[in-house]
Amino acid sequence: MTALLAIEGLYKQFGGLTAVSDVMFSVEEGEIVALLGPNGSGKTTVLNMISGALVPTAGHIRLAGAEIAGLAPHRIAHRGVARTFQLVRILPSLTVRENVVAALAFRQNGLWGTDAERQADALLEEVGLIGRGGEKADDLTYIDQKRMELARALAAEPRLLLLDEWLSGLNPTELRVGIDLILSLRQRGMTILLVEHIMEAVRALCTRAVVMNAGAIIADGPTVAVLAEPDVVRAYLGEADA
Amino acid sequence: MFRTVLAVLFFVGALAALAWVPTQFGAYGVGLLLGLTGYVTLASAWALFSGPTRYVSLATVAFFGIGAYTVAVLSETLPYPVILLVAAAIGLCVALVVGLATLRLAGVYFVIFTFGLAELVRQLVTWYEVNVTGTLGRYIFLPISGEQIYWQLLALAAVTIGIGWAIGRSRIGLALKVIGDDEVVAAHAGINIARVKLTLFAVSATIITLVGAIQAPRWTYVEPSIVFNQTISFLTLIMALLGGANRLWGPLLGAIPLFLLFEWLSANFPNHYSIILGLLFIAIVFVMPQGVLAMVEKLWKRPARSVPENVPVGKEVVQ
Amino acid sequence: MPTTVLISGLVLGGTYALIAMGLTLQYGISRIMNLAYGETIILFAFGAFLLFSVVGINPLLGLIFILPVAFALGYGIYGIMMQPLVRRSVKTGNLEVDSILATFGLLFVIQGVMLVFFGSNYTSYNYMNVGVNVLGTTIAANRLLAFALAVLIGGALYLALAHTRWGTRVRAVAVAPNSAPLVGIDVNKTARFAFALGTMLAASGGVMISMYQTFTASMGVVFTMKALVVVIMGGLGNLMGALVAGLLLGLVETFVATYIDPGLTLAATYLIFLSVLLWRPSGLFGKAAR
Repeated sequence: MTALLAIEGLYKQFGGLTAVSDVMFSVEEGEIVALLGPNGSGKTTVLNMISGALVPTAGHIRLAGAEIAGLAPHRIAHRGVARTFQLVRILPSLTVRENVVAALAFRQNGLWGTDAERQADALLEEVGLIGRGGEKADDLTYIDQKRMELARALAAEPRLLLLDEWLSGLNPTELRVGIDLILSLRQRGMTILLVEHIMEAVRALCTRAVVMNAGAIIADGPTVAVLAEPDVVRAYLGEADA
Repeated sequence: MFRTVLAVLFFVGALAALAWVPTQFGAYGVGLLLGLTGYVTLASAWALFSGPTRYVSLATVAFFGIGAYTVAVLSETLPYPVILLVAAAIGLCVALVVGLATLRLAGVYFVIFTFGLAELVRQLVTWYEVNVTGTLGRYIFLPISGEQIYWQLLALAAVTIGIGWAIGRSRIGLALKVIGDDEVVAAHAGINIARVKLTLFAVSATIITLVGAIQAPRWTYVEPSIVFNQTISFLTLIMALLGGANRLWGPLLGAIPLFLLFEWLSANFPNHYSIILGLLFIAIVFVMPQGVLAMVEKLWKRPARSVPENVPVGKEVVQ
Repeated sequence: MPTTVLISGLVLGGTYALIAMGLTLQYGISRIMNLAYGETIILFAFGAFLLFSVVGINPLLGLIFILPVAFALGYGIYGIMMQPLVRRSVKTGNLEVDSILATFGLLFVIQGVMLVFFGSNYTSYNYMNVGVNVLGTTIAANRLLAFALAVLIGGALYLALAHTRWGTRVRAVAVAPNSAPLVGIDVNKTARFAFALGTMLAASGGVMISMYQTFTASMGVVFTMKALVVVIMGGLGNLMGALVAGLLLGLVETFVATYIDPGLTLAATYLIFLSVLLWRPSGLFGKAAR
């Protein structure tokens, strides 16, 4: 069986700077994989290349066997990749419901009209925003904006969900809620690749971890084993508990 | 639902009344109405694209002129409805070329390109007329009265505003709002941004071309420097901005007072016309960047609200 | 006669390079997309014409009067018109659109003023209109003088930007307007200065143009377009790029005017613009985006 996501020989250069160098890993259907590494190690750059926000300098990104490297973001979205952003990105002038409808309307076989609104409300309920659809997205608190962003990503019915530090910036109670939310997604069999600094969450959620440092992969394996590797500890020294 | 029906009925009634109006006026009145309706259509069509995307198109007169010149060239060879179709098709093709070349890039490229487009088309037409046909300037003898032109423009204005209304409730309308808020989110939600923009620009440009084509018989004599006059782009822009380019009725509300003002200015201050226009325009950009309607709304709301609008909510702190 | 085309093309390109440098200063550093740029050029072409035909001062000497006036005008326009927009854009982020709209209005104001004072006729005057032999090609002395001036002014500006403390400050604002204040640079002051300097370059371009060609009050758009095309070809904010692209445009135009048709030079300019946009939107000398 081919992996859902297979990355091979991936490079990204910004001018003279090599941000990502010969990255190779894969994510199997139904897995939750963590992409770890200190700040500036190239995690978000990899995520951006998968979602199409950046075009790789070289290399392959295959989704269920089909090449998606270098496609425009909307095409990659149509192939079944959805994401959240490191700094939450809401559509401030729209309502919460419209934020979700936006993703429903433009996905492959999109929804529109009352169907879309009903589906949007169902998704909002799922992420814990029951009855909040009519509020302006701009008025939500930070955690609620993150919830809404997750609902918007789920609305695309993704085969692969990319979460970029979705749990960061939350207080301990909110963090618990957030972890439970992602766990519930795992139970539905969703495949998730997440970039995260909060090790507690990584241990709770991910069966496997891929660690990057200075643009290259330095470890790949079961989470517990990977986090104990000396290389990884060294890379993280000073921010292990970040 | 009931309200929609009521609105449509009102719209149709107003149209019928407007269609009847010129029978009560002399030639001057009809001319005035006709010019006004032309600008209402131009401003509304301009706002269809430039309002939601915030891409400032300065090419209005390029398309307007293409429409007018097509009629001038073909008026003796083809039946009138066919000429209109040909004009619309040419306008559409030019819009697609311009859009495909620039709309994928940053907005400033589009502005620059459209800014020079009228001058380019004008020089090309002049070159063609001088070198190929050997005449600069053409006469249009079409048996079309002022009232008939007015009715055509009125219909086109209604269609334009109707398109604006339909877009507001359609998927493309939502796509535009999303793009306006955040292009990155839009692309990741599966919106083909370039295609949405291109579609809208093409629709808007085709309508503008038709306005030029429909108005052409008014002139009887046409030459490039008349139909490719930058002032038309300028007036369209300022009308749409005054009324508010993001609102369905904004351009219409901006066009009526400004058109009358321009008529008065050009009659009374023919020499200082463009200076006054320029200053007026700068004032509008400064005082009401969102247009009159937004301004009125803000003033309307102010007494009702006791809490000031711009209280920081601590969002920056969290991010 | 390819040498003729080459030489007159380069001479024309010198002026284009100079006016493009001014525009690239205004857009690259002050972040103002100035659509009234060409009108400014023509305004000072009329200025040189007035000095020459009314007061009897030759354009070379006239520059001594015109350049400070142009600088003051640019300084004033930025202070009165642009500064409020810049301040507002901190909140709205609309500086580009606002500046385009405001300068579009300014275009009509300047054009209107010129029409009132000078009418819509073609204007020109006779200054150093004698042929000079350059490498076997006869070329008007006033064109050569214009080229020499362009080289002098453009070169001085380039050296100043590359080698002075002031130049470093300006380049810092161009590259990183948000970080520049952190190292103690007054961005607003620098932007205002750059805008005024850009106006000064436009004025010197106008004086040159007035020396060797006829001009009218309604011609500004063409010069704005040419300057913009050069700026985009060279890469936004890239002075060296503007220089090379300006010379290139002069060559292409002269070539088209000589071998194809003088009426198609603007079309040729546009064709170049279109191909650059499709092929390398970041400019021939810019870094690739994305």
